[in-house]
Amino acid sequence: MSKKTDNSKLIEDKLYPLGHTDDVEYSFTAEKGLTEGLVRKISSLKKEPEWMLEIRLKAYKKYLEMKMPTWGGDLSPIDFDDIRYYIKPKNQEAKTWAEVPEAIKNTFEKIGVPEAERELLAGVKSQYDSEVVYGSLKKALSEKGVIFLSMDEGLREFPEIVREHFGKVIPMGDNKLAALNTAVWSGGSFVYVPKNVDVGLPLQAYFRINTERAGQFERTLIIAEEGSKMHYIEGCSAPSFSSASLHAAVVEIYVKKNAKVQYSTVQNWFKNVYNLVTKRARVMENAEMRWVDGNLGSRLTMKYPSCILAGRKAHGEVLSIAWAGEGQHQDTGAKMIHLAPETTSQIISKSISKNGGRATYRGMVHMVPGAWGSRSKVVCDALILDEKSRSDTYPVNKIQENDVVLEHEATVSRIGEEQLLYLMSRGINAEEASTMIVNGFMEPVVKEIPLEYAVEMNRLVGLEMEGSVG
Amino acid sequence: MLIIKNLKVKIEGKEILKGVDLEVKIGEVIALMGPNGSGKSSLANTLIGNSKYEAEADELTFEGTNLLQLKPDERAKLGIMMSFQYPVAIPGVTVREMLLASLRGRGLIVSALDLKKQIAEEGERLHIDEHLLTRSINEGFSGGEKKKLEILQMRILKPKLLILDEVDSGLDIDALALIAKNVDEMAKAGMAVLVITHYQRLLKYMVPDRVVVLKNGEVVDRGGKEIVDKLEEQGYKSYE
Amino acid sequence: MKIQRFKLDKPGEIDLVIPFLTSFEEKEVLGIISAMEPGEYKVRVVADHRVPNTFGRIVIIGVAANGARVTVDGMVKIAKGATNTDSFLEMRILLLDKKSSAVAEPKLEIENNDVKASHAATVGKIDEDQLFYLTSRGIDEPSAKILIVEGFLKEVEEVKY
Repeated sequence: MSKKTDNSKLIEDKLYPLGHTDDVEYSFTAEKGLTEGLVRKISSLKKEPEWMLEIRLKAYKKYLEMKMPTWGGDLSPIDFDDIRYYIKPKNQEAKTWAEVPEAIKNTFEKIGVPEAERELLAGVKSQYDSEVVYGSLKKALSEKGVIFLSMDEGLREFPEIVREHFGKVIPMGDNKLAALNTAVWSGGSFVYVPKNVDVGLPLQAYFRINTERAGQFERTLIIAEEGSKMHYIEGCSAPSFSSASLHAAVVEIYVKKNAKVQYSTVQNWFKNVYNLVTKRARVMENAEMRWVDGNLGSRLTMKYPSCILAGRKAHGEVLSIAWAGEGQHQDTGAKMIHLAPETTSQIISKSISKNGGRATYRGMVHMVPGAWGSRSKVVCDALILDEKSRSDTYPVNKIQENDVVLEHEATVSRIGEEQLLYLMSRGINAEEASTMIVNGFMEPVVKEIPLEYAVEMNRLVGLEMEGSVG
Repeated sequence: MLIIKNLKVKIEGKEILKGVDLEVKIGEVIALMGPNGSGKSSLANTLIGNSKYEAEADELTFEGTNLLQLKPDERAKLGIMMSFQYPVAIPGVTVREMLLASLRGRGLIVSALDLKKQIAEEGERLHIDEHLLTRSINEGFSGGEKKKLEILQMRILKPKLLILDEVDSGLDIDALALIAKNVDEMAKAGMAVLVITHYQRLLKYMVPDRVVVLKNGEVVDRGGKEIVDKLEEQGYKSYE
Repeated sequence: MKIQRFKLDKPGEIDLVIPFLTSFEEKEVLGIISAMEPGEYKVRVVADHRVPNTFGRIVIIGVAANGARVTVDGMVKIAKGATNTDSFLEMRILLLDKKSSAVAEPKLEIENNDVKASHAATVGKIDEDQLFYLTSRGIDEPSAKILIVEGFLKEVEEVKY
């Protein structure tokens, strides 16, 4: 593929100059409800190639045929006819600063979110004025041949690369929400890292111009060529407003031979959001994929980052934290499919439920015949902070090869009285002691989250624990 | 400084201490001895405010302040701290984080870097392996290492009254001597110590000013060092 | 302490619900699955804690060979009112050859926080070191394997918690 070797020139030539947006797209707002007509309209507005329209239409048909999952969280309150399936970015400004709840403003204050970002996060502005930052970032990346664009731009600029990879890790028929996303996707990131390139700096979804912060049906495609290395970060731990109450995103990642990819997410959507995400990576020989997932917000999150360990000695990890507070259900977990010999996986899941929240771990480790020499270790720990809250664990370990090792352990507990006494006996008050213990509980996962997010997360936990000790 | 008059303590409805009187003056080293089950640890836990123990007393004060309604952190801030018999492990929390929170909780201004140095120095003095100081507190530590870490914390937190709950159990001679030396230094600098033990070993290194013997939840003997010698010869049978 | 034992040594199903309806009940379930013939072997156990202060232990140890397919579905349920429950579930499966397979599902549904609940599951093959140790004492491999398997199954009586 000639494009792969000629990227830097490609990027200079073809990328839209900074600040350019497609005006035609912005003048359209969809009616509520989903029809084939709308799917066609979306594709034509974006001026997509015929093959992408065909994919969308096929996916739409699949979506109509398939059934909603009945396991997992309660999806019945979602009225699919009452949703706008295409919202132009500008129309996502739904509030004035005055309308933003006081509690949210206080949180921004306490966790130190910069002024400029508060309006964006609160849904007051939908575009991040990141031209200066983004400009210098783009220059650094293009020098290495790294492509980092919105998914729409990626399809426009690099259709062959997209066509080769789109929908192959997560086929449209994978589940109903994936079919929906494939039909109406808009926004998301397209990242391509050439062979042996180490991107060096973490790529943040944040920095993309025209980011649809409340992107409902984001589609992200990441391709890490052989020997490459990258870290992608999306989301943020500050409470984030979304005008859309249904998020059904799809993230597909190719980790080719010897490559290393880490994908970190921290989400703290307002409690009106249903966050249903399909995320999967295909990991080839000797390559490594690590998903780091922090789930703090939303009314219901269903998300099970997965790794298909397709090449020998491939390694996959999912490190996740779920915080389920009042009115929240975090139904999260991981899937590891061992298809080749000597593949290894690790899942660490830490969940905390409080104030009637419900945290559910749902996981799958599957080792097929022939995956000899494989090893998997799963640790899921749950902390239930009070008598109102709930924790469930539903792991499935399907082992069809005998020369393997699978270990799975789970514990459910609350904040230990002795631990509290120990810290308090050193003069630390009950609330602070509880916060230290909860943060200590999350530590194995938090230490893999980029520092700024980790600090914000720990402060958030502190806030949540305030007034909770009585 | 610590005045206990007629202290009665129950745990899960069962009476453990049946009316104990005890006083500790500033800078004193008091040995509290007695056979297993006599209530020594219950007394210690009651003093630091462990809510599992229900206490009532005619007086339970520290430097004039009534302890009875105070929570463990409030008592710690007054200057009463305990070296636990079975220190608990706390995943993800290092000794530095804990000490920082404790010192700052008292309103002291502490630099994390200075504290790190202090911890390293005390660690050396107590022959504690460096890498243990950066791990989760007490996780995977041997019995002896846990006890040493308790003393390290006390050297930094400098309580006014230090309660040693069976610090000698599980320690070898060298560790015992080292701990005793370090505590002795603090005592000479004015800290009061309530040493709880049922062996005489430790008291060879830390000579008490007074000795109190507890049995079945009651004080059965008081006196000076001579009691330790008596116990060495006759054991606790002499109190039957 | 009430101890219930079961042994599944032919293809089939065992479905057990262990209710804890009276406070201070203590129940233990020890199960062995000896799956040496081709076929489906399914064990489903539910520990259902409804009232305070109960103690439950479920230990299931299984061996599969010759194309046997073993499924162990173990659930510990602790209801809202079941304060101070102490519940432990363990499943250990040894796969003796490549034709056999196992599905291990250790599940939890916990609605009370003042409890001690944990579970563990392992699936794997005979430990090479153990095999080496025995053969280095002059025991032939097949006999060594039998010894190890028998020892493995006996552990159901000795699991330490």
